[in-house]
Amino acid sequence: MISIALPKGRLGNKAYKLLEACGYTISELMDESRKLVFRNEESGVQYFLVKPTDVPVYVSYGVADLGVVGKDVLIESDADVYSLMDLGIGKCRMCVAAKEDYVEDKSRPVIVATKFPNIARDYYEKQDREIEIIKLYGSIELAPILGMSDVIVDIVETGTTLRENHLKVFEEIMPLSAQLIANKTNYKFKEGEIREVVAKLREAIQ
Amino acid sequence: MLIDTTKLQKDEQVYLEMQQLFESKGYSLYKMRRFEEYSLYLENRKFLNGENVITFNDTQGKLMAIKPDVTLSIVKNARSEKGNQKVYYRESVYRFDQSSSSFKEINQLGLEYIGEIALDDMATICYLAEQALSVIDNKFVFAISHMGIVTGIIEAMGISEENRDEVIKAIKSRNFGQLEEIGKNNGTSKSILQKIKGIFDAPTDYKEALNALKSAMFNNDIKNAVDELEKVYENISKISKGDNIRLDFTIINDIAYYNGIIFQGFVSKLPKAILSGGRYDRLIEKFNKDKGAMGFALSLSDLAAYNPTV
Repeated sequence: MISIALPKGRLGNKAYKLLEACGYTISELMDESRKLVFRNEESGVQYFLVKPTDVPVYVSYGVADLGVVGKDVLIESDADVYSLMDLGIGKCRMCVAAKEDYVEDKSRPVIVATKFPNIARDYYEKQDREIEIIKLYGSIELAPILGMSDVIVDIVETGTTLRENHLKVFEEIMPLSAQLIANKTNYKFKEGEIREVVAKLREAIQ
Repeated sequence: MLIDTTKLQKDEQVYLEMQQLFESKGYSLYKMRRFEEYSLYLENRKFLNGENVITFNDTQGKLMAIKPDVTLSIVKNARSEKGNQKVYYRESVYRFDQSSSSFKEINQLGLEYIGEIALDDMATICYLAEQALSVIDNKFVFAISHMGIVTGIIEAMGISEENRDEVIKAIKSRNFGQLEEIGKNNGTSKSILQKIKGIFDAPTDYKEALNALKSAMFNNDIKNAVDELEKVYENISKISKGDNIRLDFTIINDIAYYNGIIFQGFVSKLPKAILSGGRYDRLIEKFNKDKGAMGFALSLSDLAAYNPTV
């Protein structure tokens, strides 16, 4: 039996479609249920539906053997897990964005609003630029509009939200997509099964 | 035996059974002070992974630390004139625990060999680590690797010092996609990347993994690693069944201190490695001692409430 932690929401649904195509099916419909655990003895799989940022936690504690998680969440969490493959879904970019007319004032630290303080800190550290971080949990775009921050470090998918709020991308930090992660101990005890999941997924993606 | 060790808590059982085995192989108990001068840890911060240390001033005003680690003290105190030193210890160390943001006491059982280390000795140390795991749980994995694999990959990829950590991170997380990207940005040739992919694609079954490494011997580091991994395995096989031994290149210790054979031990009910160790001649060199060193430690604290797989 392989346990897989899936993020609730769009990415989780896409990931399930991929896994379903590989034969790791469950009989119930996931999005119409309030259940959190879905199990299928026949296909030898068990899914947990968890908050996206909690996927690396369930995997690093080994209650889930595998997990599907955005690269943004994975890097931010710095979890000590295997990152076995890029699933090629949930593609977007981690960017620095600001008001369209923003000009950086180099005489003082940049004020950055973000959900991803570790990624932001790392990015500016590499450029030797001092920053102040304002950690937010949502509607990050509001921070520069109200003058609370100079820039934001956030995920950009289509750029529509930015445009509608008169913000624009100034720098791209990294491309993002969903990763298949594994617990390091469980990998050792279930190597055959996990390698099979990876092989089937590789085939399904091509 | 007077005590039925199987009825004890797991940490006590492991200690008592391993104590007998260690002594039968010529290791003697090493007892040490709880405090050490702080400068020892300051100079070797990387060995402790930059770990925080509890410090205090002694009566003479000297800055002291409550031990965060035992190996450093054993190495520091190893007499250079003496022959081989074979010791084991059971000590508490104090380390900062990220999840609770406070210091935590960890009871460790460990073993160190300082001196001339022959192939036989390396195999014996691996065997003892493997035995310790089998006492904890019969469902265990003893995963061996070699520092030459990672240094060989770094050299073959033409990676500069500043990008080294990224490569190590990619290998540790078994992330070939990431490694490939680093390679492309650093002008690594396609044929080298293809060979490295072969290492990633192989299972951790010792022989299969060794064969994958054999088809990727692009430099001396890897050649020496393959040679030593092969010989050590042969030697372990003479004293152990070796059913649970794997070759896992994703196990990496700090390059500044470790060289040669390294290993980690896993039991099925703990999400992280319970045992880790390896050859650390580079640390010994920093103390100007012309010797080899190898050892391992396991956390007894994590075992107190351990229920093995039945």
